[in-house]
Amino acid sequence: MSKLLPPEENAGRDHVSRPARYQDLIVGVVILVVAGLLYRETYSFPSVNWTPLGLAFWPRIVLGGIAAACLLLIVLRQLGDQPVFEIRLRESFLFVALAGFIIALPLAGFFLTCTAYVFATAVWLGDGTQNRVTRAALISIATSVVVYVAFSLGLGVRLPQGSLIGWALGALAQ
Amino acid sequence: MTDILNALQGTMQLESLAIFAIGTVVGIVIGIIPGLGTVMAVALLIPFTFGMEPEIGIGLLVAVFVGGVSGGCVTAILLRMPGTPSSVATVLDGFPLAQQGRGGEAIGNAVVASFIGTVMSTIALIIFAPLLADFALRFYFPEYVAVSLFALTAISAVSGPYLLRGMLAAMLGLLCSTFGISEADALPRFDFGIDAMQTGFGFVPAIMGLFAISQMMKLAGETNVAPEAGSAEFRAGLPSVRDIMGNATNYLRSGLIGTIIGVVPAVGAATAGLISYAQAKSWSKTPDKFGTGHVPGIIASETANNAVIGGALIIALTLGIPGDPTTAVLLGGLMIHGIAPGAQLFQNHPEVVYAIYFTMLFSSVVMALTLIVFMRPLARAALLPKHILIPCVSAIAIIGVYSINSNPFDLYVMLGFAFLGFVMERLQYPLPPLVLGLVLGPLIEGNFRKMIGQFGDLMPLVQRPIALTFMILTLLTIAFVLMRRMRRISK
Repeated sequence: MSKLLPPEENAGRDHVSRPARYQDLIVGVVILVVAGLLYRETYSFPSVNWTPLGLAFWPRIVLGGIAAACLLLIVLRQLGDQPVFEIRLRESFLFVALAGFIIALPLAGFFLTCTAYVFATAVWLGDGTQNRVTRAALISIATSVVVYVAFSLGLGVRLPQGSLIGWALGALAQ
Repeated sequence: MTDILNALQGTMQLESLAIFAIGTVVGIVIGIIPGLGTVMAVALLIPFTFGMEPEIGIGLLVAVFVGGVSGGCVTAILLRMPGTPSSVATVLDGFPLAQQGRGGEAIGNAVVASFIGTVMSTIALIIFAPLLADFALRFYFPEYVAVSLFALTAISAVSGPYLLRGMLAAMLGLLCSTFGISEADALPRFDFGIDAMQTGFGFVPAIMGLFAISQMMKLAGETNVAPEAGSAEFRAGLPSVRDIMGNATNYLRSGLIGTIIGVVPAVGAATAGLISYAQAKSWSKTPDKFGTGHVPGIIASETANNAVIGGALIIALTLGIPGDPTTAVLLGGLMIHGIAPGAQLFQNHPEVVYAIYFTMLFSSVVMALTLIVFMRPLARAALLPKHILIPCVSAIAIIGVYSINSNPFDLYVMLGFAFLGFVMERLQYPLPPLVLGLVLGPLIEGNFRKMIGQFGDLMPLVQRPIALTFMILTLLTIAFVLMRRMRRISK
């Protein structure tokens, strides 16, 4: 979690710690570069003659506005009490776990992926007690069943079976 | 009259009533859990509405909205943890009252206030929405451009202390709305040769990433703080009719404040609660009692924050302008069902409008009964441990987004927006302006291009009376915001 600098360390331009002081500068420059690249991309849009102004007209106005806002942001950097940008291990883990869930979903199928994700996350975030693994296993199975019942049986959504699972089952059958 | 009967026929069926009741309870539970909030509650429920008739689906989302705003009061009073920001002002008098062993009385008053606030704003919605819709029938492309620009000035209200960051976030939202196939030209933009990118960034995946997943990431990083419990006294102490009549002015004033603030784009329920609380205190004969466990303080906060719902829906349904992030998500839900908000909604889909009116009244009754009867177990929902909450909510969000189109690309969009939302919050860049940009982007672009196509220049914005009025309002708002900020800086 980000921590707030004490006021005496962060009250004015000269005393702001480095990460906080350059926060808006870095954000402004990064977005400015991305906006520049996207602006260049607008020249690759196909030209149309059936609507006025064309495809690129509005995105260019917006990108112009973004560039202006970024320049102002760089010039008028917000100072004062700024949290230092920091990402904790637990947040990174959850993001990686979510990405893993999303990538594995079409490959390993709903049941396996959902159960594994919920189990791993529940164990990782658990309170360190001895029965946390058993509890996480129960939570993961219950969540998968409830989500399956709600979405697949209730709403008729075809949840992914998993291409790898299908392939493995096919190979076993042969 | 036929429309009303048709709407009631659809919504009064047992199955529909059960759906609305479940939606209200789900909203209450999510509202009670600190850190989740009504935006996430409505976004999480959108995938469940796909198989429903539009009036039932939208009714469900409205029920969740009412439940979500009301639920936050329970934990605000008993645990000093406002489940949603809208209940911030309720803590000031609710928790001291709970500490005095009068928690039940505090909740009873909060529930009645929430009920009265919702009913008052529903009446305002029923009266004023059709009038505004009739007025909006005179709108043409320039008027819609002017109204949308005026709505964008709401960025100042939702940007907190950093206006420039809010403006940048809004423009990023406008930019994100240009990705994918352009509605006017039927050709893709910013697809980078990737077929999946032609669909652009779906609204639900974006909202789910910004509000649900990024919030889960934030929660994962936070350390558990044991809540300070109020009193063990949980029995509801409902106010008598005499008590209610004694506070009639407070209810009326707070309901009006909430409804009016709801109409102003993007100000939101938390501000309404705080303004109403401050007004109740300044009008009170015993202002010293405020903050020490004074029932009128709870009434002011809870009546106003619930009254925001109707006010926000007035401009959302008639002009298509979201009053706050939750109504933005609601508008997204309407559009997913193929229903465009605006004046035409009242002519083409009156059954949806009447279903919204009915659901607001019905769910306010369900909300009051649920909170009174199940106060104790509901308060426990706030103590749900993170290792259960985070995996369960994120799994439901992922499968919910997948269920929209069965398209894995939507999941990547959600993940991308989750990362964006997380980084923005960490850097203190406000998220609501980004949502405003996402919602208003297509509206502004479409009408702006049609206006230029038809009139050839920008002159209609100052030549047509309604458009000119909104342009003047926009300029006045900008001038007011700049002056206020400069005055603050000079101090």
